[in-house]
Amino acid sequence: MKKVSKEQIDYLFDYTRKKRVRYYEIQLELVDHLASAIEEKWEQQPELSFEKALQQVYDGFGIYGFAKIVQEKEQAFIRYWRNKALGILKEQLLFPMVLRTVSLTMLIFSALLFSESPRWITISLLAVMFGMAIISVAHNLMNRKKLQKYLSISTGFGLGGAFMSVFFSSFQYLPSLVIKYGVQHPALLFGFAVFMCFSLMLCYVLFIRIPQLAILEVEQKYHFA
Amino acid sequence: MAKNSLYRGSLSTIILKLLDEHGEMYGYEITQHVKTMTEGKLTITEGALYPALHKLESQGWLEVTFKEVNNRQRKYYSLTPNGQKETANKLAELQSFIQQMQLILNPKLDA
Repeated sequence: MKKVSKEQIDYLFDYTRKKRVRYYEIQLELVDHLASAIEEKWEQQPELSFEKALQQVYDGFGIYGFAKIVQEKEQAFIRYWRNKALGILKEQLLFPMVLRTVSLTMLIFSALLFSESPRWITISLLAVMFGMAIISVAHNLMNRKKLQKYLSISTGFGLGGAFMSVFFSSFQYLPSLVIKYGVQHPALLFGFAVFMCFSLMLCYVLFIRIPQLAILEVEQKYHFA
Repeated sequence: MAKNSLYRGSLSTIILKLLDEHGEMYGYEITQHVKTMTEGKLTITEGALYPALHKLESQGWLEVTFKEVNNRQRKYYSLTPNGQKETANKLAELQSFIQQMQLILNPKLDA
């Protein structure tokens, strides 16, 4: 039975790239699909040329070609990483991680309550969060090639990126608000400590943990690439 | 085409059921299997199959492995333990839907 050759497989990879399939995960699956369909066509018409068989198979993908598959795959990854992030955050509220979460909240609360300068405590906490965002950007630049090749990594990093601008722009008024209202009301200060603890965890998950997981999963899954 | 639109809502269930029966399958194999089983009356288009597979994978119901076949890597899908539970739920849901449709389409005159 006639099989698609190694050179033709390389051609199919080029073909998917020309059809705007940028990411390797999708190219890999489409190339196997195209090759399988071409081989089946050859079973019925062995004289059919590779190019003609490919065109016939591609036509079967309909008017949107590969575009819908790429778009839906991106959505699937966004959903996947969002669920993963929520799962990690939920773990922080369950035993034994909840002990760490409560300790961190109490530490922030005590620091805010007993410090002479709660404003600087707040600024320091924001600096830690900002530091995590910087680490994420550096991590992004160091893994540029992988980000361009794998949609999974690209969406994993993208989750933190989308969050970054909203998060930090809403945080610029916090230090002065804490000074103005928080110091006089310990209950309000405690609520603020809970909020800051949650924000620290969120930054850690989105800027550090998810990008790490995205790279790890790709390295395990596509170890042959 | 009109006939296929009736199947579209059940595509995930069809995929889960096939994987439950066969253990692991790759994308093209699924399309061909459905075509053969239904004697060509139902064709799953690639544009519908892969988004459905990727969605099921992102929900944690499918896991993937790769094997080298004929100069290329082939992606095989199989059910995760959660996927197996979901298959049972989806099949029960579909069975119940079919029964309800039968009640509507073939009402008992003496009832």
